[in-house]
Amino acid sequence: MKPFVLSVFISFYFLSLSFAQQITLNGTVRDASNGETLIGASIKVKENASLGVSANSYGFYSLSLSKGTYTIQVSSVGYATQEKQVDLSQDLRMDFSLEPANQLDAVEISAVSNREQIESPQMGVNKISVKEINNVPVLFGERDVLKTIQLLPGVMSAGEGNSGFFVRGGTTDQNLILLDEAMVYNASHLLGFFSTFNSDAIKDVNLYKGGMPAQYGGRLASVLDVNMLDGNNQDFGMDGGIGLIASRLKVEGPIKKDKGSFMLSGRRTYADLFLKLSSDSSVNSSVLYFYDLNLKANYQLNNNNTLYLSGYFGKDVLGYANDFDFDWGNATGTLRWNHVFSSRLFSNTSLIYSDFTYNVGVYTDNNDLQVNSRIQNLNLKQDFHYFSSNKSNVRFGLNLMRQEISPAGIDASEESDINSLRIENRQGYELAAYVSHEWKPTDRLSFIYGLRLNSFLLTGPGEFHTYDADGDILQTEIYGGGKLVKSYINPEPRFSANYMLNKNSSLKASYNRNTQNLHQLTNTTSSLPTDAWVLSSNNIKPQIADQGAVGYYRNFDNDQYEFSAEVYYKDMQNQIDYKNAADLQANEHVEAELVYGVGKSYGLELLMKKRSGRLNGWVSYTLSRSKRRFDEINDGDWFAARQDRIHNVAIVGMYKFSDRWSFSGTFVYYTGNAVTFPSGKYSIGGKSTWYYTERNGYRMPDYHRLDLGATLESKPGKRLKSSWTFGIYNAYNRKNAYIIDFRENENDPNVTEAYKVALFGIIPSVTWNFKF
Amino acid sequence: MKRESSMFKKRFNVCSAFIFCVLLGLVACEEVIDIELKEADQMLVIEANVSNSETTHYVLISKTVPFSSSSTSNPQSGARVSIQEEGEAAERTFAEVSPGQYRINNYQAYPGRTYKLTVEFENEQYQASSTMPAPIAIDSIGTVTESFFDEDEKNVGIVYQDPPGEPNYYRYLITVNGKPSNLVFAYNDKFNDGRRVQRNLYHEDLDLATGDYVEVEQHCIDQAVYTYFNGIQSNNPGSAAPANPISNFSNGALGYFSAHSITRASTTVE
Repeated sequence: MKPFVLSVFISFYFLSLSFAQQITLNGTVRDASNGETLIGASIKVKENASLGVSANSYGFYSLSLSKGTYTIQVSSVGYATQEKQVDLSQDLRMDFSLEPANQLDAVEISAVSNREQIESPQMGVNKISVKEINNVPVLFGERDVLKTIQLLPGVMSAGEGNSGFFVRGGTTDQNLILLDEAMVYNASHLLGFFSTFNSDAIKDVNLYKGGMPAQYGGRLASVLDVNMLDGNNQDFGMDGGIGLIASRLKVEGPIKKDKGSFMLSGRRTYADLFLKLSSDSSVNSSVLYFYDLNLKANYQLNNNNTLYLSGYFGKDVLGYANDFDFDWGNATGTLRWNHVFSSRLFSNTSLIYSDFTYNVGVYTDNNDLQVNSRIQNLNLKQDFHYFSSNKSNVRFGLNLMRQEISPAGIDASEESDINSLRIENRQGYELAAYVSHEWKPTDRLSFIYGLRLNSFLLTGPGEFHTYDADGDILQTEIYGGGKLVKSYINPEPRFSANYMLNKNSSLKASYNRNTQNLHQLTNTTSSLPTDAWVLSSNNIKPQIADQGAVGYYRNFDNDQYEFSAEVYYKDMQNQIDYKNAADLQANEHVEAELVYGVGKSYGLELLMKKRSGRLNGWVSYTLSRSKRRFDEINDGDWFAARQDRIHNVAIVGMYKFSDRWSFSGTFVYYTGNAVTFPSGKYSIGGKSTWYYTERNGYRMPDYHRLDLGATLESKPGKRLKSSWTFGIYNAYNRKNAYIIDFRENENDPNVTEAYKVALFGIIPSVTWNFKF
Repeated sequence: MKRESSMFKKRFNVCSAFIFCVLLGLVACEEVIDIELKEADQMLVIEANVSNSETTHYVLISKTVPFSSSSTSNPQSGARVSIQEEGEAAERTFAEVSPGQYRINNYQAYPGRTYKLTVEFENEQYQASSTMPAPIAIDSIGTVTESFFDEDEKNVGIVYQDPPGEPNYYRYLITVNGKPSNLVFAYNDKFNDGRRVQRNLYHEDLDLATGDYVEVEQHCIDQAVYTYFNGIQSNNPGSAAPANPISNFSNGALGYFSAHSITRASTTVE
């Protein structure tokens, strides 16, 4: 590791030498109304448009210029552009605060930043604004980041009422979901009907489907990077909403004006209050709710040092009468220190904790027991961002993460007919170092290239087994605490390039390798909080994906419209599937239930987006395939993965009818999942039994759905701003198949029939939102 | 290596039902649909049982039929079926007593011994071995009443002492008012090793009412037979990839051969 870091520093030394004659202007760009940093804001020299940079994820920028007088032009989507005269003779710090623009006037104002998809070498990335999240109609009116990203090309819903998503043919556990850098292990509430992300607390969402920059690693398919709001450092404010399912409240304000702020946002469902009204004694003694709490605080110690503390805590609680209870939840905490070493070198140090636990309690006469499980990590990240010139900047850093899994354990009482059971904890370390260089050698050509070196160490204490093909133990070795059991090192090259064909269009290409050392095991179609996690081990090799992509990007009509087309091919190694009737619950030998194979996915993604005006929205189409091959499954032949949906269409429209009324609609269509249906039947013990011939040889029926929404804003000018949001989910009441199964006919058991279960018909919703 | 986790599964099924019905106030709608299914080549199915409690044993031989067929039965005549105890030279053959049904009389099988069953049919040979576990006594049987959404649900529970320190596998056959039920109940002792166990024979399709006369057969089965029946009961609508249960027969035959010991109990539902 040492020579690597050293060489990085040496290259910086030379880079800084070569540009030493230049003067730098640096600082932070913020929203004037609340002090929120503006990620990706553009800072340009008016006299020479090719001199420009953009602010990083902390709003920090560094612009290199020679001596002279300039007009600096700062802009960001949805804000009035600001210009300042500056006479540069030495390094200068200059912060900007932009005024939010009236939405309808936003056309010309935001145009500069709409050019990012053409000009940036980054590809396979989608940004979602909170405004878009808030306007897209959703189930029960609960705004949802995860539901909104499922409307983007290359991203598919894992199914009705499921927050899980598939990116470019990957599985749900191949997505890295980050909330202020902390890994969120389980991003769903109520077994998947809602996500853990309360949009009130969210500032910015980026989804990387390919060409991941080297600062991200750990999952094969995607990175969903969610940033929380910092909180208003100008005024105290409160806003919230009352909906059918849940209510929300957010409080924010300055800790010290212009210096620091806090934000506290909470959400809780209250369906269980209605349960209390039931006359049924087992219903009214049942509980069912979830809550979320997001907290963030920041304080600027001085011009060069800022501290951020953010946390998330969420929990689902479910209890049936006095027989059964079940709760699960995530907790995350991030402490960050932004430090400006020099006008060119920005540093962020983060200490991150993340945890997911579940507890099940059963209290019946003969079963009195509790089951619990936990997965947690502690992560130290050091990131540097070096602005060597306006044409070149370098990110490099280190990441040290300790991951610990406590698999399901059972504590049973003496009277119970169940034994207590404790399965050994597993711990592993992930160490990564990366360097990534963004470079624009000519006006037309730009690159981001880098390398992430990822190593994984599985350590004791514990008993570690190896298994034969039948799952019987071949060998058992005992390791002491901290003793190395198995290690893997994987270099992950990342590369993307952009060639601008002309002012309004560009071609891009990218290649990236990603590896994954944390795997989630599930052999059901719905994801459960109890799905077990395992680390790479002496039996499980790290999953590896190599992805190549090319794309064409074009803006039209003064950057009002943007079009993109990307084609990708992804090759996956060490994929995991399960033996027939695998036992994945509380099983010490769960690794004996796994089989390993390969996968490939490829596709074409088209997106046409209108960014501004009264009517805006997008149309997305994806043509894709995703296949797997395992020696033990389907006679070793390739088969379609469950998420192999060939056609995927999403249409999103938002129309601002007047100052008070706005309307929205979304339509989705996709090919049904690949599923396994029987191709014959026979009788065992007098019971019809199905005969299966191939894995996923059939299709569920096509899925389509239309959702509509309308928002009525209160009359302008009042101190209390409020709005009503009305929604209709599944407007034409399409009975989409959730499950298709087979059974004997009730009247004639010799006759067998197929039946489908549909989950949601048409569902109206209403929410009242307020802000003061 | 297969272990079951029906306790968890059932609890989560209860959970999901609870969520769908109560919170959402929506009853998932269900309807019969038409699906075009492929017609696979016919496969041989062998269902063979040998127990310690009788001296007459049956083997059923059939073939799979297309899913759309109006009859599930497709018996196959003309097979040669024989059984042999491991370590013994003597082999006994079964006689076909009706199409697809083969019988052997006066054959006593014993716990602790391994039996090999051979089927020769259409110039192919299929073999399976099974070891009969020792019988485990049923200590008591009774009615279990659970209240679910204020509706009493009746089930039959049996109590037995699981032998400690060894894996045990159980299969139950239930007869209600003289009519055998075809529901599958297969369990292991993953969570209960060495415990005095109350096993409630719950199944959503088993609607018992006060006054029903219920007979329970407890089969102590070997691991391969458990794997087979657990494979059947694991294929529920929620499985990501349903598959054929793993047969202990060679040469690709479907079905199973079980040498098991039987204990019986009966009760009238209270």
